[in-house]
Amino acid sequence: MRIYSLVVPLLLALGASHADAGIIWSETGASCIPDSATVSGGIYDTIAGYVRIKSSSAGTLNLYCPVFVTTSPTSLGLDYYSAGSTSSNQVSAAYYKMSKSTGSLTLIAAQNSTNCGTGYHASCSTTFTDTVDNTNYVYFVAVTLVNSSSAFAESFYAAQLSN
Amino acid sequence: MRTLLVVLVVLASGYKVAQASNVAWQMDAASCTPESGAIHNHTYSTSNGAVNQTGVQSVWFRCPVPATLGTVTYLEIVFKDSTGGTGGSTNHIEACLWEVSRATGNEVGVLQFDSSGVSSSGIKDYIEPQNPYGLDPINYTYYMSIELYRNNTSNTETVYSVGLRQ
Repeated sequence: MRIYSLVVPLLLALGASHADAGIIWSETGASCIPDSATVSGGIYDTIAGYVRIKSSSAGTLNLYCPVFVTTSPTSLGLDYYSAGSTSSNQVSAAYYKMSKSTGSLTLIAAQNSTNCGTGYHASCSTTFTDTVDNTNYVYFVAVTLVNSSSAFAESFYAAQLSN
Repeated sequence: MRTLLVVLVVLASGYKVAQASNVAWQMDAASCTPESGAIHNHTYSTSNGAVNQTGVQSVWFRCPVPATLGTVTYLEIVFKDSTGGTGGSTNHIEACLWEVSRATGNEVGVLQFDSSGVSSSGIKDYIEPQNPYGLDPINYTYYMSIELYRNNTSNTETVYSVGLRQ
């Protein structure tokens, strides 16, 4: 009886913790839309769900990933490959809200691979506070890949929002 | 008793308005897919989540819509048409929710918007009332099209976002 009285509340508490914290939005890199300059530049590849700068190419890719959530996220995550650790070779994600009355953007959160290291299938996240307001704003994640050295092939696998 | 009735009516009205303003789905226009012709001809640009017509004639974008939204009653679009609705059929913006039959591929436009009827030359968040339409995820798929028409390069035709409200 004593064990049950201790274990059952603990299990319930763990379950509640998992139910409260989780991914509420995610998108694979190849499902995001390159901007017009990226399309014209022609230095991006989509492979097996991810996006990368073409090998032996240098330049910048910009992608838009649409976000529609009805609960407020508190964390932005980024899955990427980066061979460099400076602003010359990086992958970044920025969570924006666009005002429906003015079209102006507000940056809610951003994360950059230079803060989290190099390597394949690396992950990076950052926390923030913002209350979702779909009546007055539209939300999206903008992803930028920068590669100034053609020896690397910066890649974007996915982005997530969690709470 | 009369006061109580008035309070209940006011509360019910507020609830109805709140229901009407419920956003069922929306997305920034830059995340919509440009048609192949727009890509090949370089007749559009994306900037800060919006799409712009940079050439003449028309450019199309298509935006995926979840088929599981239930019944939708309003088409919402945030746009800028510098002609203020006076550009006629050659300088304006259209949006349409398309229903595509999974059995035949046949497409039918079920909710429509045309900026020709809106007298605003600045950015406008326009919520177009429609007849309530129930989406059927078993038999159909859905997408929203955006069309920007321009035959005069001094005009601005920009779409910031599209959405559906219940």
